Amino acid sequence: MESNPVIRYNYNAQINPPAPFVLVTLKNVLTGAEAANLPAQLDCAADRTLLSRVVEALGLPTIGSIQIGGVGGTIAEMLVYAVRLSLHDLPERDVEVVAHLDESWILLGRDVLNFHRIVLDGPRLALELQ
Amino acid sequence: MSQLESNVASGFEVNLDLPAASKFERERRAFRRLLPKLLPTYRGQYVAVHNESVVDNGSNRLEVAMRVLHKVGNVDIYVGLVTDQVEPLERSGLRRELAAWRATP
Repeated sequence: MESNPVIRYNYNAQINPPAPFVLVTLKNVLTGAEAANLPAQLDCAADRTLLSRVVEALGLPTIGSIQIGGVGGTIAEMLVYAVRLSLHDLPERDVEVVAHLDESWILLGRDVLNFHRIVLDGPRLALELQ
Repeated sequence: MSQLESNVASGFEVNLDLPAASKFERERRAFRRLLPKLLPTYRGQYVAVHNESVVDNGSNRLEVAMRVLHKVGNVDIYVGLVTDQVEPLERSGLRRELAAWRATP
């Protein structure tokens, strides 16, 4: 991993506090439909990656459902989709994700983040990704 | 016996105009229906349900799902864990101060 180039992103300052975002590409491996350069917020508190309305645009197949716990113990049953995902131009991988059509952007959970070396530099409002 | 009394005796029917279940919902219902019979053979494994029948099984939901989807195409299926235990919750991690995150001018 040390030989891979380091990719730097500035935090997004459109939200408060500024937050680490990267661009991701999503693919439906069965149809070839692709959505590139989608904004995705790094969310290491999330066990699982959450997509937005893009699941409909890509025609992603639903493969199951799981229960998600939110703040204060609220529980929601959410549908699970299969998608091929890559951060920036890094190698892609197939992942199970959940989705909510009303979410504004993708939230990258530890199921994806833990495959990468990521350094969050809060004072500089920037991140490094490998 | 009056007409009302005879109707009460036989029971009124109330029919709801419900939308047809989606394919995913039909597969999920089929999984739950089949679950008691699946436990002896597939306990702890994931099984894939397509056209209301079990079509594949394995230890990893995504692997099972991708195998089935490559065979049947881009359609909704249901891949469920064969268990009679409550599945652990996953965390969404959504903690957003709504008043703060909206874009400021």
